[in-house]
Amino acid sequence: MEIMRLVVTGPVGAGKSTFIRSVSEIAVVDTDRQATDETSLIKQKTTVAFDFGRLAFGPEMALHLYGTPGQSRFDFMWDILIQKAHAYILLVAAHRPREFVDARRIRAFMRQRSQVPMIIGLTHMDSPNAWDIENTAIALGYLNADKCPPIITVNPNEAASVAQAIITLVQHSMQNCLV
Amino acid sequence: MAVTGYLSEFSLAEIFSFLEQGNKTGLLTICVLSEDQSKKRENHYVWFNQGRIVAASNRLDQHGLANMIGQRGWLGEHTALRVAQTCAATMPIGLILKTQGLLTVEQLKLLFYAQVMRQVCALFSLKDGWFQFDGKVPLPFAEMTGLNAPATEVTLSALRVLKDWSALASKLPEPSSAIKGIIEGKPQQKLNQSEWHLWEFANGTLALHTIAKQLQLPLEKAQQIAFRLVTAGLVEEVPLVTVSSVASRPEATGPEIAVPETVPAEATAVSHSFLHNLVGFLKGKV
Amino acid sequence: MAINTEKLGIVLQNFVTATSDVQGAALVTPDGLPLAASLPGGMDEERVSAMSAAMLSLGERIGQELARGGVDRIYVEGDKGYGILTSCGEDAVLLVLADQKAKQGVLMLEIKRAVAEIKLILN
Repeated sequence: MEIMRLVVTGPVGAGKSTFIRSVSEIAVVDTDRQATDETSLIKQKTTVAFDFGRLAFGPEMALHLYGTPGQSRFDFMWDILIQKAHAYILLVAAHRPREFVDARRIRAFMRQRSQVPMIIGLTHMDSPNAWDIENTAIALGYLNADKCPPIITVNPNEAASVAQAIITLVQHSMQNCLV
Repeated sequence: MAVTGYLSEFSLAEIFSFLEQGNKTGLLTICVLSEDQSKKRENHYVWFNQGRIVAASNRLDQHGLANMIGQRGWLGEHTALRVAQTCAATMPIGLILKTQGLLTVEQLKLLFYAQVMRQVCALFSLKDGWFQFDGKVPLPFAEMTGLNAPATEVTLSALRVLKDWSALASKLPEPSSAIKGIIEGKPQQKLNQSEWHLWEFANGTLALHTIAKQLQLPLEKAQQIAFRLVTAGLVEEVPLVTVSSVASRPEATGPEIAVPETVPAEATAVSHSFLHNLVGFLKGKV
Repeated sequence: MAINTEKLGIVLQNFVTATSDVQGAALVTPDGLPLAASLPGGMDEERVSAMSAAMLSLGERIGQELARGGVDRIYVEGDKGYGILTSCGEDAVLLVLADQKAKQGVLMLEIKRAVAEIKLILN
Protein backbone atom coordinates (compact mmCIF):
# COMPACT_ATOMS: atom_id res chain seq x y z
CA MET A 1 0.00 0.00 0.00
CA GLU A 2 1.44 3.35 -1.01
CA ILE A 3 0.21 6.30 1.02
CA MET A 4 0.80 10.02 0.68
CA ARG A 5 0.13 12.06 3.79
CA LEU A 6 -0.90 15.69 3.41
CA VAL A 7 -1.32 18.04 6.33
CA VAL A 8 -3.87 20.84 6.25
CA THR A 9 -2.93 23.58 8.68
CA GLY A 10 -3.70 27.23 9.37
CA PRO A 11 -5.25 29.55 11.95
CA VAL A 12 -8.63 29.02 13.60
CA GLY A 13 -11.54 29.23 11.20
CA ALA A 14 -9.48 29.14 8.00
CA GLY A 15 -11.52 26.15 6.79
CA LYS A 16 -9.26 23.17 7.53
CA SER A 17 -11.93 20.72 8.72
CA THR A 18 -14.29 21.78 5.93
CA PHE A 19 -11.50 21.34 3.39
CA ILE A 20 -10.98 17.73 4.43
CA ARG A 21 -14.68 16.98 4.68
CA SER A 22 -15.20 18.21 1.12
CA VAL A 23 -12.97 15.59 -0.48
CA SER A 24 -12.74 12.68 1.91
CA GLU A 25 -14.48 9.55 0.71
CA ILE A 26 -14.80 8.23 4.24
CA ALA A 27 -16.69 9.88 7.05
CA VAL A 28 -14.06 12.24 8.41
CA VAL A 29 -12.58 11.23 11.72
CA ASP A 30 -12.90 14.50 13.54
CA THR A 31 -12.17 15.58 17.09
CA ASP A 32 -14.46 18.58 17.31
CA ARG A 33 -15.30 20.11 20.63
CA GLN A 34 -17.49 22.99 21.63
CA ALA A 35 -15.35 26.12 21.53
CA THR A 36 -15.29 28.16 24.73
CA ASP A 37 -12.46 30.60 23.99
CA GLU A 38 -12.39 33.50 21.51
CA THR A 39 -12.76 30.87 18.79
CA SER A 40 -16.46 30.76 19.64
CA LEU A 41 -16.82 34.21 18.08
CA ILE A 42 -15.99 32.68 14.71
CA LYS A 43 -17.50 29.22 14.98
CA GLN A 44 -19.11 26.83 17.44
CA LYS A 45 -16.82 23.85 17.23
CA THR A 46 -13.10 23.50 17.06
CA THR A 47 -10.66 20.67 16.35
CA VAL A 48 -8.66 19.59 19.40
CA ALA A 49 -6.52 16.71 18.10
CA PHE A 50 -6.82 16.26 14.36
CA ASP A 51 -9.17 15.58 11.49
CA PHE A 52 -8.54 12.64 9.27
CA GLY A 53 -9.83 12.06 5.75
CA ARG A 54 -8.92 9.58 3.04
CA LEU A 55 -9.05 9.24 -0.72
CA ALA A 56 -8.30 5.82 -2.19
CA PHE A 57 -7.64 5.95 -5.91
CA GLY A 58 -6.25 2.55 -6.69
CA PRO A 59 -6.12 -0.88 -5.12
CA GLU A 60 -2.83 -0.04 -3.43
CA MET A 61 -2.87 3.74 -3.41
CA ALA A 62 -4.38 6.24 -1.01
CA LEU A 63 -4.11 9.86 -0.03
CA HIS A 64 -4.42 10.63 3.67
CA LEU A 65 -5.38 14.10 4.81
CA TYR A 66 -4.65 15.31 8.33
CA GLY A 67 -6.10 18.59 9.60
CA THR A 68 -4.41 20.28 12.56
CA PRO A 69 -6.00 22.32 15.35
CA GLY A 70 -5.63 26.06 14.77
CA GLN A 71 -4.86 27.35 18.28
CA SER A 72 -1.21 27.45 19.27
CA ARG A 73 -1.93 25.67 22.56
CA PHE A 74 -2.20 22.53 20.41
CA ASP A 75 1.23 22.99 18.86
CA PHE A 76 2.27 19.54 20.09
CA MET A 77 -0.31 18.21 17.61
CA TRP A 78 1.22 20.34 14.84
CA ASP A 79 4.52 18.73 15.69
CA ILE A 80 3.18 15.17 15.68
CA LEU A 81 1.33 15.62 12.39
CA ILE A 82 4.03 17.41 10.41
CA GLN A 83 6.67 14.78 11.23
CA LYS A 84 5.21 12.22 8.87
CA ALA A 85 3.79 14.57 6.24
CA HIS A 86 4.86 14.51 2.61
CA ALA A 87 3.57 18.02 2.00
CA TYR A 88 1.27 20.56 3.56
CA ILE A 89 -1.09 23.35 2.74
CA LEU A 90 -1.38 26.43 4.94
CA LEU A 91 -4.92 27.80 4.80
CA VAL A 92 -5.38 31.49 5.55
CA ALA A 93 -8.67 33.40 5.72
CA ALA A 94 -7.93 36.37 3.46
CA HIS A 95 -10.62 38.53 5.02
CA ARG A 96 -9.28 38.30 8.57
CA PRO A 97 -5.93 40.17 8.58
CA ARG A 98 -5.93 39.69 12.35
CA GLU A 99 -4.89 36.10 11.75
CA PHE A 100 -1.99 36.75 9.38
CA VAL A 101 0.30 36.83 12.41
CA ASP A 102 -1.01 33.40 13.48
CA ALA A 103 -0.43 32.02 9.99
CA ARG A 104 3.15 33.28 10.14
CA ARG A 105 3.64 31.61 13.50
CA ILE A 106 2.38 28.27 12.20
CA ARG A 107 4.55 28.53 9.11
CA ALA A 108 7.65 29.34 11.15
CA PHE A 109 6.87 26.37 13.36
CA MET A 110 6.45 23.99 10.44
CA ARG A 111 9.48 25.32 8.60
CA GLN A 112 11.65 24.66 11.62
CA ARG A 113 10.52 21.04 11.76
CA SER A 114 10.01 20.00 8.20
CA GLN A 115 11.43 20.80 4.80
CA VAL A 116 8.58 19.21 2.87
CA PRO A 117 6.92 21.18 0.04
CA MET A 118 4.09 23.51 0.99
CA ILE A 119 1.58 25.81 -0.64
CA ILE A 120 -0.72 28.49 0.69
CA GLY A 121 -4.47 28.41 0.14
CA LEU A 122 -6.41 31.64 0.66
CA THR A 123 -9.99 31.10 1.77
CA HIS A 124 -12.95 33.49 2.06
CA MET A 125 -11.76 35.32 -1.06
CA ASP A 126 -15.38 36.10 -1.95
CA SER A 127 -15.71 38.33 1.10
CA PRO A 128 -15.75 42.07 0.26
CA ASN A 129 -13.04 42.61 2.88
CA ALA A 130 -10.71 39.95 1.50
CA TRP A 131 -7.15 40.99 0.73
CA ASP A 132 -5.93 39.99 -2.72
CA ILE A 133 -3.24 37.38 -3.32
CA GLU A 134 -0.43 39.86 -3.91
CA ASN A 135 -1.07 41.85 -0.73
CA THR A 136 -1.65 38.78 1.40
CA ALA A 137 1.69 37.40 0.21
CA ILE A 138 3.43 40.57 1.41
CA ALA A 139 1.56 40.51 4.71
CA LEU A 140 2.68 36.90 5.20
CA GLY A 141 6.27 38.00 4.64
CA TYR A 142 6.86 36.78 1.07
CA LEU A 143 8.76 39.68 -0.41
CA ASN A 144 10.68 37.82 -3.01
CA ALA A 145 8.64 36.16 -5.74
CA ASP A 146 11.35 33.52 -6.26
CA LYS A 147 11.11 32.32 -2.69
CA CYS A 148 7.35 32.42 -2.49
CA PRO A 149 5.49 29.10 -2.51
CA PRO A 150 2.47 28.78 -4.80
CA ILE A 151 -0.44 30.79 -3.42
CA ILE A 152 -3.90 29.82 -4.58
CA THR A 153 -7.49 30.67 -3.87
CA VAL A 154 -9.55 27.83 -2.48
CA ASN A 155 -13.14 27.42 -1.39
CA PRO A 156 -13.12 24.66 1.25
CA ASN A 157 -16.84 24.10 0.75
CA GLU A 158 -16.45 23.02 -2.87
CA ALA A 159 -15.04 19.60 -3.62
CA ALA A 160 -13.76 20.75 -7.02
CA SER A 161 -11.92 23.70 -5.55
CA VAL A 162 -10.35 21.52 -2.87
CA ALA A 163 -9.35 18.90 -5.47
CA GLN A 164 -7.69 21.67 -7.49
CA ALA A 165 -5.79 22.82 -4.41
CA ILE A 166 -4.53 19.31 -3.75
CA ILE A 167 -3.47 18.99 -7.40
CA THR A 168 -1.44 22.18 -7.03
CA LEU A 169 0.17 20.84 -3.86
CA VAL A 170 0.95 17.46 -5.43
CA GLN A 171 2.37 19.04 -8.58
CA HIS A 172 4.45 21.38 -6.46
CA SER A 173 5.79 18.32 -4.61
CA MET A 174 6.64 16.64 -7.92
CA GLN A 175 8.67 19.65 -9.03
CA ASN A 176 10.55 19.56 -5.76
CA CYS A 177 11.28 15.87 -6.27
CA LEU A 178 12.84 16.52 -9.67
CA VAL A 179 15.16 19.27 -8.47
CA MET B 1 -8.90 45.20 -4.07
CA ALA B 2 -9.25 46.61 -0.64
CA VAL B 3 -6.53 46.78 1.95
CA THR B 4 -8.78 47.68 4.77
CA GLY B 5 -9.71 46.65 8.28
CA TYR B 6 -9.70 47.69 11.91
CA LEU B 7 -6.63 48.64 13.88
CA SER B 8 -7.77 46.34 16.66
CA GLU B 9 -7.31 43.46 14.23
CA PHE B 10 -4.36 44.59 12.11
CA SER B 11 -2.25 47.00 14.09
CA LEU B 12 -0.62 50.14 12.75
CA ALA B 13 2.77 48.47 13.24
CA GLU B 14 1.67 45.60 11.00
CA ILE B 15 0.23 47.98 8.40
CA PHE B 16 3.45 49.98 8.26
CA SER B 17 5.49 46.84 7.99
CA PHE B 18 3.23 45.66 5.16
CA LEU B 19 3.43 48.97 3.29
CA GLU B 20 7.20 49.15 3.60
CA GLN B 21 7.85 45.56 2.64
CA GLY B 22 5.46 45.87 -0.29
CA ASN B 23 7.13 49.11 -1.45
CA LYS B 24 3.68 50.65 -1.53
CA THR B 25 2.84 54.10 -2.85
CA GLY B 26 -0.44 55.77 -1.95
CA LEU B 27 -2.58 57.10 0.86
CA LEU B 28 -3.34 55.47 4.18
CA THR B 29 -6.49 56.82 5.77
CA ILE B 30 -7.18 56.20 9.43
CA CYS B 31 -10.61 56.99 10.71
CA VAL B 32 -10.65 57.26 14.48
CA LEU B 33 -13.57 55.47 16.06
CA SER B 34 -14.72 57.27 19.12
CA GLU B 35 -17.24 55.95 21.59
CA ASP B 36 -18.55 59.45 21.94
CA GLN B 37 -20.99 59.66 19.00
CA SER B 38 -21.45 63.42 19.31
CA LYS B 39 -17.79 64.05 18.54
CA LYS B 40 -16.80 64.98 15.04
CA ARG B 41 -15.26 62.13 13.10
CA GLU B 42 -11.54 62.49 13.02
CA ASN B 43 -9.43 61.32 10.10
CA HIS B 44 -5.70 61.01 9.70
CA TYR B 45 -3.83 60.69 6.45
CA VAL B 46 -0.37 59.28 5.83
CA TRP B 47 1.17 59.30 2.37
CA PHE B 48 3.64 56.68 1.23
CA ASN B 49 6.10 56.61 -1.63
CA GLN B 50 7.80 53.25 -2.29
CA GLY B 51 7.22 52.13 1.26
CA ARG B 52 8.54 55.34 2.81
CA ILE B 53 6.42 57.90 4.61
CA VAL B 54 6.56 61.25 2.80
CA ALA B 55 3.80 63.26 4.46
CA ALA B 56 1.06 63.18 7.07
CA SER B 57 -1.88 65.37 7.85
CA ASN B 58 -5.34 65.47 9.32
CA ARG B 59 -6.77 67.25 6.31
CA LEU B 60 -7.00 66.56 2.60
CA ASP B 61 -7.07 70.13 1.29
CA GLN B 62 -3.30 70.18 0.91
CA HIS B 63 -3.03 73.18 3.22
CA GLY B 64 -1.50 71.34 6.15
CA LEU B 65 2.16 72.03 5.50
CA ALA B 66 1.61 75.65 4.42
CA ASN B 67 -0.31 76.09 7.63
CA MET B 68 2.57 74.75 9.69
CA ILE B 69 5.04 77.03 7.91
CA GLY B 70 2.76 79.98 8.56
CA GLN B 71 2.41 79.11 12.25
CA ARG B 72 6.15 79.15 12.65
CA GLY B 73 6.31 82.59 11.02
CA TRP B 74 8.87 81.47 8.47
CA LEU B 75 6.69 82.55 5.57
CA GLY B 76 3.21 83.96 5.34
CA GLU B 77 0.75 81.11 5.05
CA HIS B 78 -0.64 82.77 1.92
CA THR B 79 2.75 82.96 0.30
CA ALA B 80 3.40 79.34 1.08
CA LEU B 81 -0.02 78.37 -0.26
CA ARG B 82 0.56 80.37 -3.43
CA VAL B 83 3.87 78.67 -4.05
CA ALA B 84 2.16 75.40 -3.34
CA GLN B 85 -0.61 76.06 -5.83
CA THR B 86 1.49 77.47 -8.62
CA CYS B 87 4.38 75.11 -8.81
CA ALA B 88 3.72 72.12 -6.65
CA ALA B 89 2.32 69.87 -9.33
CA THR B 90 5.59 68.08 -10.01
CA MET B 91 7.80 68.37 -6.99
CA PRO B 92 7.51 68.62 -3.22
CA ILE B 93 6.84 72.15 -2.05
CA GLY B 94 9.64 71.81 0.51
CA LEU B 95 12.20 71.38 -2.26
CA ILE B 96 10.80 74.37 -4.16
CA LEU B 97 10.97 76.61 -1.10
CA LYS B 98 14.50 75.43 -0.47
CA THR B 99 15.72 76.12 -4.02
CA GLN B 100 14.10 79.57 -3.87
CA GLY B 101 16.01 80.20 -0.67
CA LEU B 102 12.80 80.66 1.34
CA LEU B 103 13.44 77.80 3.76
CA THR B 104 16.63 76.19 5.05
CA VAL B 105 17.39 72.50 5.25
CA GLU B 106 17.19 72.75 9.04
CA GLN B 107 13.74 74.26 8.87
CA LEU B 108 12.59 71.49 6.54
CA LYS B 109 13.88 68.89 8.96
CA LEU B 110 11.98 70.50 11.81
CA LEU B 111 8.85 70.59 9.68
CA PHE B 112 9.20 66.94 8.75
CA TYR B 113 9.71 66.01 12.36
CA ALA B 114 6.59 67.87 13.48
CA GLN B 115 4.50 66.77 10.52
CA VAL B 116 5.44 63.12 10.20
CA MET B 117 7.30 61.85 13.23
CA ARG B 118 5.18 63.55 15.85
CA GLN B 119 1.79 63.16 14.18
CA VAL B 120 2.29 59.58 13.08
CA CYS B 121 3.81 58.41 16.34
CA ALA B 122 0.75 59.76 18.12
CA LEU B 123 -1.43 57.45 16.01
CA PHE B 124 0.13 54.42 17.66
CA SER B 125 -1.71 55.16 20.88
CA LEU B 126 -5.12 54.95 19.19
CA LYS B 127 -7.27 52.25 20.76
CA ASP B 128 -9.13 51.49 17.57
CA GLY B 129 -9.79 52.87 14.17
CA TRP B 130 -10.70 51.86 10.70
CA PHE B 131 -8.01 51.93 8.05
CA GLN B 132 -7.87 51.87 4.31
CA PHE B 133 -4.96 52.02 1.94
CA ASP B 134 -5.51 53.42 -1.54
CA GLY B 135 -2.68 52.84 -4.01
CA LYS B 136 -4.15 55.09 -6.69
CA VAL B 137 -3.82 58.41 -4.91
CA PRO B 138 -1.17 60.73 -6.47
CA LEU B 139 1.59 62.10 -4.22
CA PRO B 140 0.50 65.27 -2.35
CA PHE B 141 3.36 67.53 -3.39
CA ALA B 142 1.91 70.51 -1.50
CA GLU B 143 2.15 68.52 1.76
CA MET B 144 5.66 67.21 1.17
CA THR B 145 8.84 68.58 2.68
CA GLY B 146 10.87 66.44 0.32
CA LEU B 147 12.12 64.39 3.23
CA ASN B 148 10.97 60.86 3.99
CA ALA B 149 11.37 58.07 6.50
CA PRO B 150 11.07 54.29 6.12
CA ALA B 151 7.73 53.26 7.60
CA THR B 152 9.26 50.80 10.03
CA GLU B 153 11.71 53.41 11.33
CA VAL B 154 8.69 55.45 12.37
CA THR B 155 7.20 52.30 13.92
CA LEU B 156 10.37 51.67 15.92
CA SER B 157 10.44 55.22 17.25
CA ALA B 158 6.75 55.11 18.10
CA LEU B 159 6.86 51.76 19.87
CA ARG B 160 9.94 52.72 21.90
CA VAL B 161 7.90 55.37 23.66
CA LEU B 162 4.53 53.60 23.68
CA LYS B 163 3.14 53.38 27.21
CA ASP B 164 -0.03 51.36 26.84
CA TRP B 165 0.56 48.07 25.05
CA SER B 166 -2.82 46.52 25.82
CA ALA B 167 -4.08 46.86 22.23
CA LEU B 168 -1.07 44.90 20.99
CA ALA B 169 -1.23 42.12 23.58
CA SER B 170 -2.33 39.41 21.15
CA LYS B 171 0.34 40.43 18.64
CA LEU B 172 3.34 40.10 20.92
CA PRO B 173 5.52 37.03 20.46
CA GLU B 174 4.65 34.32 23.00
CA PRO B 175 6.99 33.91 26.00
CA SER B 176 7.62 30.30 24.95
CA SER B 177 8.56 31.28 21.39
CA ALA B 178 12.04 31.95 20.11
CA ILE B 179 12.98 34.66 17.64
CA LYS B 180 15.02 34.04 14.55
CA GLY B 181 16.80 36.51 12.30
CA ILE B 182 15.46 36.65 8.75
CA ILE B 183 17.96 39.03 7.19
CA GLU B 184 21.45 38.53 5.85
CA GLY B 185 24.12 40.19 7.95
CA LYS B 186 23.50 43.01 10.37
CA PRO B 187 20.37 45.15 10.63
CA GLN B 188 20.49 48.39 8.66
CA GLN B 189 18.11 50.15 11.05
CA LYS B 190 19.36 52.19 13.93
CA LEU B 191 18.63 49.95 16.89
CA ASN B 192 18.83 50.96 20.50
CA GLN B 193 20.83 49.06 23.07
CA SER B 194 18.09 46.72 24.27
CA GLU B 195 17.10 45.91 20.69
CA TRP B 196 20.70 45.01 19.92
CA HIS B 197 20.85 42.79 22.97
CA LEU B 198 17.77 40.87 21.91
CA TRP B 199 18.98 40.69 18.33
CA GLU B 200 22.05 38.82 19.59
CA PHE B 201 19.70 36.07 20.76
CA ALA B 202 17.73 35.83 17.52
CA ASN B 203 18.91 32.33 16.67
CA GLY B 204 15.62 30.46 16.86
CA THR B 205 16.54 28.21 19.79
CA LEU B 206 16.00 30.16 23.03
CA ALA B 207 12.53 30.92 24.34
CA LEU B 208 11.83 34.58 25.06
CA HIS B 209 11.32 33.94 28.76
CA THR B 210 14.83 32.44 28.91
CA ILE B 211 16.27 35.37 27.00
CA ALA B 212 14.48 37.80 29.32
CA LYS B 213 16.01 36.05 32.32
CA GLN B 214 19.49 36.17 30.83
CA LEU B 215 19.18 39.84 29.99
CA GLN B 216 17.52 40.54 33.34
CA LEU B 217 14.59 42.13 31.60
CA PRO B 218 10.95 41.86 32.65
CA LEU B 219 9.32 39.29 30.34
CA GLU B 220 6.83 41.85 29.09
CA LYS B 221 9.63 44.19 28.03
CA ALA B 222 11.40 41.40 26.19
CA GLN B 223 8.20 40.59 24.32
CA GLN B 224 7.77 44.23 23.38
CA ILE B 225 11.33 44.54 22.11
CA ALA B 226 10.92 41.30 20.17
CA PHE B 227 7.74 42.67 18.63
CA ARG B 228 9.65 45.75 17.50
CA LEU B 229 12.25 43.54 15.82
CA VAL B 230 9.46 41.56 14.15
CA THR B 231 7.73 44.66 12.76
CA ALA B 232 11.07 46.02 11.59
CA GLY B 233 11.33 42.91 9.43
CA LEU B 234 14.46 41.69 11.22
CA VAL B 235 13.24 38.56 12.97
CA GLU B 236 10.36 36.16 12.95
CA GLU B 237 8.69 34.42 15.84
CA VAL B 238 9.32 30.68 16.00
CA PRO B 239 7.13 28.70 18.37
CA LEU B 240 9.15 26.06 20.20
CA VAL B 241 7.72 22.74 21.25
CA THR B 242 8.66 22.89 24.88
CA VAL B 243 8.94 19.22 25.67
CA SER B 244 11.23 20.07 28.54
CA SER B 245 8.91 22.56 30.23
CA VAL B 246 6.17 20.00 30.74
CA ALA B 247 8.46 17.10 31.52
CA SER B 248 10.88 18.81 33.88
CA ARG B 249 10.02 18.00 37.45
CA PRO B 250 11.39 19.65 40.53
CA GLU B 251 12.76 16.34 41.75
CA ALA B 252 14.41 15.56 38.44
CA THR B 253 18.02 14.63 39.07
CA GLY B 254 21.00 16.20 37.42
CA PRO B 255 21.27 19.51 35.62
CA GLU B 256 18.49 20.44 33.27
CA ILE B 257 19.59 19.48 29.81
CA ALA B 258 18.01 21.10 26.82
CA VAL B 259 16.06 18.41 25.06
CA PRO B 260 17.47 18.19 21.57
CA GLU B 261 14.98 18.90 18.90
CA THR B 262 13.58 15.68 17.61
CA VAL B 263 14.94 15.05 14.18
CA PRO B 264 11.91 14.83 11.93
CA ALA B 265 11.55 11.31 10.66
CA GLU B 266 11.46 12.04 6.97
CA ALA B 267 8.41 10.44 5.53
CA THR B 268 9.37 7.84 2.98
CA ALA B 269 9.08 9.37 -0.45
CA VAL B 270 6.17 8.48 -2.66
CA SER B 271 6.79 7.29 -6.19
CA HIS B 272 6.31 9.34 -9.30
CA SER B 273 3.75 6.98 -10.73
CA PHE B 274 1.77 7.38 -7.52
CA LEU B 275 1.79 11.15 -7.86
CA HIS B 276 0.79 10.96 -11.54
CA ASN B 277 -2.06 8.64 -10.73
CA LEU B 278 -3.18 10.91 -7.92
CA VAL B 279 -3.20 14.01 -10.10
CA GLY B 280 -5.12 12.12 -12.80
CA PHE B 281 -7.63 10.94 -10.23
CA LEU B 282 -8.12 14.40 -8.76
CA LYS B 283 -8.53 15.98 -12.18
CA GLY B 284 -11.61 13.82 -12.56
CA LYS B 285 -13.06 15.57 -9.54
CA VAL B 286 -12.46 19.14 -10.64
CA MET C 1 -24.90 30.24 36.97
CA ALA C 2 -21.22 31.05 37.05
CA ILE C 3 -18.87 28.21 37.80
CA ASN C 4 -17.23 28.57 41.18
CA THR C 5 -13.61 28.28 40.04
CA GLU C 6 -12.32 29.13 43.48
CA LYS C 7 -14.13 26.16 44.95
CA LEU C 8 -12.89 23.94 42.13
CA GLY C 9 -9.35 25.03 42.85
CA ILE C 10 -9.72 24.15 46.52
CA VAL C 11 -11.17 20.72 45.72
CA LEU C 12 -8.24 19.97 43.40
CA GLN C 13 -5.68 21.21 45.85
CA ASN C 14 -7.18 19.13 48.65
CA PHE C 15 -7.25 16.11 46.40
CA VAL C 16 -3.58 16.49 45.47
CA THR C 17 -2.39 17.08 49.04
CA ALA C 18 -4.60 14.45 50.66
CA THR C 19 -4.07 11.58 48.24
CA SER C 20 -0.75 9.83 48.59
CA ASP C 21 1.41 9.55 45.48
CA VAL C 22 -0.70 12.05 43.53
CA GLN C 23 1.53 14.78 42.12
CA GLY C 24 -0.92 17.00 40.37
CA ALA C 25 -4.38 17.44 38.91
CA ALA C 26 -6.07 19.69 36.41
CA LEU C 27 -9.65 20.27 35.43
CA VAL C 28 -10.02 21.41 31.81
CA THR C 29 -12.73 22.16 29.27
CA PRO C 30 -13.24 19.68 26.41
CA ASP C 31 -11.69 22.23 24.02
CA GLY C 32 -8.54 22.39 26.08
CA LEU C 33 -8.72 25.39 28.38
CA PRO C 34 -7.84 25.25 32.07
CA LEU C 35 -10.69 25.52 34.59
CA ALA C 36 -8.63 24.83 37.69
CA ALA C 37 -5.28 23.20 38.33
CA SER C 38 -2.84 22.13 40.97
CA LEU C 39 0.22 21.02 39.06
CA PRO C 40 3.87 20.29 39.85
CA GLY C 41 6.12 23.30 39.32
CA GLY C 42 7.38 23.73 35.78
CA MET C 43 4.26 22.33 34.16
CA ASP C 44 2.42 24.79 32.03
CA GLU C 45 -1.28 24.76 32.82
CA GLU C 46 -2.37 25.77 29.35
CA ARG C 47 -0.30 23.10 27.69
CA VAL C 48 -1.42 20.39 30.05
CA SER C 49 -5.02 21.39 29.36
CA ALA C 50 -4.61 21.27 25.59
CA MET C 51 -2.95 17.87 25.80
CA SER C 52 -5.70 16.51 28.03
CA ALA C 53 -8.37 17.65 25.60
CA ALA C 54 -6.57 16.17 22.61
CA MET C 55 -6.07 12.85 24.36
CA LEU C 56 -9.66 12.60 25.56
CA SER C 57 -11.10 13.45 22.15
CA LEU C 58 -8.89 10.86 20.48
CA GLY C 59 -9.79 8.31 23.13
CA GLU C 60 -13.47 8.94 22.69
CA ARG C 61 -13.07 8.61 18.96
CA ILE C 62 -11.31 5.29 19.39
CA GLY C 63 -14.07 4.16 21.71
CA GLN C 64 -16.59 5.01 19.06
CA GLU C 65 -14.84 3.74 15.91
CA LEU C 66 -13.60 0.56 17.52
CA ALA C 67 -16.93 -0.09 19.24
CA ARG C 68 -15.68 0.31 22.81
CA GLY C 69 -18.56 2.60 23.71
CA GLY C 70 -18.43 5.77 25.77
CA VAL C 71 -15.09 6.44 27.41
CA ASP C 72 -14.92 6.56 31.20
CA ARG C 73 -11.22 6.86 31.59
CA ILE C 74 -7.98 7.12 29.64
CA TYR C 75 -4.89 5.76 31.15
CA VAL C 76 -1.24 6.47 30.37
CA GLU C 77 1.26 4.34 32.22
CA GLY C 78 4.86 5.41 31.95
CA ASP C 79 7.94 4.21 33.79
CA LYS C 80 7.77 7.29 35.99
CA GLY C 81 4.10 7.26 36.78
CA TYR C 82 0.55 7.55 35.60
CA GLY C 83 -1.57 10.08 33.76
CA ILE C 84 -5.26 9.42 34.13
CA LEU C 85 -8.02 11.28 32.35
CA THR C 86 -11.55 10.99 33.62
CA SER C 87 -14.63 12.56 32.11
CA CYS C 88 -16.53 14.87 34.48
CA GLY C 89 -19.73 15.24 32.55
CA GLU C 90 -20.08 17.25 29.36
CA ASP C 91 -18.19 20.33 30.40
CA ALA C 92 -15.02 19.13 32.03
CA VAL C 93 -12.25 16.56 32.07
CA LEU C 94 -10.09 15.70 35.06
CA LEU C 95 -6.42 14.88 34.61
CA VAL C 96 -4.59 13.26 37.49
CA LEU C 97 -0.83 12.74 37.60
CA ALA C 98 0.48 10.14 40.02
CA ASP C 99 3.92 8.63 40.55
CA GLN C 100 4.80 4.98 39.97
CA LYS C 101 4.36 4.05 43.63
CA ALA C 102 0.64 4.81 43.53
CA LYS C 103 -1.69 1.92 44.24
CA GLN C 104 -4.05 1.79 41.34
CA GLY C 105 -7.11 0.64 43.23
CA VAL C 106 -6.83 3.40 45.80
CA LEU C 107 -6.11 5.93 43.11
CA MET C 108 -9.22 5.01 41.13
CA LEU C 109 -11.38 5.21 44.20
CA GLU C 110 -10.00 8.61 45.15
CA ILE C 111 -10.51 9.88 41.62
CA LYS C 112 -14.09 8.66 41.64
CA ARG C 113 -14.74 10.62 44.83
CA ALA C 114 -13.09 13.75 43.50
CA VAL C 115 -15.13 13.52 40.29
CA ALA C 116 -18.37 13.27 42.27
CA GLU C 117 -17.40 16.33 44.25
CA ILE C 118 -16.43 18.28 41.13
CA LYS C 119 -19.66 17.36 39.37
CA LEU C 120 -21.62 18.81 42.27
CA ILE C 121 -19.85 22.15 41.87
CA LEU C 122 -20.23 22.15 38.09
CA ASN C 123 -23.96 21.52 38.12
